Amino acid sequence: MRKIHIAAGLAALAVAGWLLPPYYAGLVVDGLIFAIFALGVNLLLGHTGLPSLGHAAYFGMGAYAAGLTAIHVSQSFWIGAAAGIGGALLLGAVYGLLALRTAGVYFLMITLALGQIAWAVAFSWRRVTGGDDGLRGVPRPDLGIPGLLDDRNAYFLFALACCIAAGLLMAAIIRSPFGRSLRGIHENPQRMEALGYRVWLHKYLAFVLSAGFSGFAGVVFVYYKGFVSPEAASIVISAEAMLMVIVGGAATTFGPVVGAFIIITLSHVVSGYTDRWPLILGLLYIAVVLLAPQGVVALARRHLLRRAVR
Amino acid sequence: MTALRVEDAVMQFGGLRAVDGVSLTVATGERRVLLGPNGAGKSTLFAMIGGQLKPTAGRIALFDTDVTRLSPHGRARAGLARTFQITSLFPTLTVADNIHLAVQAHAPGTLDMLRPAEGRREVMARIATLLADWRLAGTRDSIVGDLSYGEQRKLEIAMALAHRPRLLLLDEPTQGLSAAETENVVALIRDLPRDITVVAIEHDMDVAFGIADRFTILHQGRVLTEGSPDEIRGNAEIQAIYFGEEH
Repeated sequence: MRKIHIAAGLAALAVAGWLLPPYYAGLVVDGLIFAIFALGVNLLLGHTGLPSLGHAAYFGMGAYAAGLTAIHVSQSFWIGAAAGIGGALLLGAVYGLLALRTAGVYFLMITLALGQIAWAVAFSWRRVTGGDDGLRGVPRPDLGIPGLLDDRNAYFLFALACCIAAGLLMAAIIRSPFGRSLRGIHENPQRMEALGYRVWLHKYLAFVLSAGFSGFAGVVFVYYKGFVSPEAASIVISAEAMLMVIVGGAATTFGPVVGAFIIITLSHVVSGYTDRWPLILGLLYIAVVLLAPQGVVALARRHLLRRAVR
Repeated sequence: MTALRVEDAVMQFGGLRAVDGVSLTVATGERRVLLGPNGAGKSTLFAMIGGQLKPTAGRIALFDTDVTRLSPHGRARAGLARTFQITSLFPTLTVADNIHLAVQAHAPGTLDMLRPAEGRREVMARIATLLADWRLAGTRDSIVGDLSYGEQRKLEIAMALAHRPRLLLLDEPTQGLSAAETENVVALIRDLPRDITVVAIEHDMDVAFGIADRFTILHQGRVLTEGSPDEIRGNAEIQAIYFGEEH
């Protein structure tokens, strides 16, 4: 039943990608990219209970590493993706060692600080990153099949495939013994430790994996835009990603995907009327926390259940 | 072989010595009950044995291996399991999921990330056995936070036994239980196989005498005396300090 719904939704998306005017198709691609990112953030925030305010660092790392690889080394998607994801995993492995020495609000602050370092490097290392001009002229990736990604709508299908792959991998991780252990750690780390779990190691692996997913989102992002600027590694992007998870529903498997589409759509609509996007984000955050603290996916599910019971 | 050896353990919190030079030896298979008024240092001593607290001084050995510097999960791997004075579970998960976490902690593949957790037959079989043994099968899909306090205490002991520990620490296992629930839990503890050593903190005298082979009496962070149930019953000093307050 649920599988049919998901399959129907994906099929509808795929058709929409072909039929939609380019502007709206572009919106959906943005949604797909940030859905991958939000899935990654959710592994840490929703499933492990560690709120990071610096995940744009891994998103940016993925984008820059893949972009630089595409410009200087190889146009192959696989090599670019390996560089982007590898770079994000490595950065996550280093930052995780530092960040996991803290907990609670201190974890929030240190991930924010570490994220700002990544942003500052992207901003000031002009010779490599292009500084605030950004990295320009990233070519479309080569998948080894000629002509596959020539037009914009074709990239839509590619982004959809990437998002599905990331979603399936994340669903498998959540169902695995490791995924279950994260939920236990979220709820009661002391008990997990007493049961014999190496709690720190589980948190650390979740941190690094979460960085890897975020980096993959950055890879799909940079190939799509052909361009990346330090903004991609900024606090605004970190906060948006966190909000996508909270709006969609932390600790649900696919809530972050829904949240990503809501935030992306909203940001495009709002930007047509006002520059006060952060203000709108803040209000949205307050509304969600007050009205649907478990996220809109849980809220919708509850409504559907209630209707079914009646 | 000794299951547990505590040597001159000291726990200092600022100006307070909660545990002040406690030594204790528990033989394999023994049922030891720690008695003592509130503030005697019983739960602090448990936290030192479990690894939740690092002793200020002294040494702790499990099964003749020094574990003083070992983390709680390392001690769990050495065969230790414990319950807490304040019930410590996963309240938003179901009973079966709580037991699942306890069982898979020691099953191979805890870090397996790609195969479903329900796919491992020996883990699922062990969960079913524990649910049946502890008469929790009827509540297997209930959310733990919704259970009665008595059922939560029972679940906590069942989880502590999930990986067949060799030493089980029970911190007031029957606290807050009804008379019927208490009887039930005492019977379950009595029925534990003798290859499991049990050390329990217990305030209820009927329960304490119901399970103990030997007693250790703590008072103000020190061991006052140690002895068999008969010796403890007949000891006037203990009567005055401890039982005097209650009876």
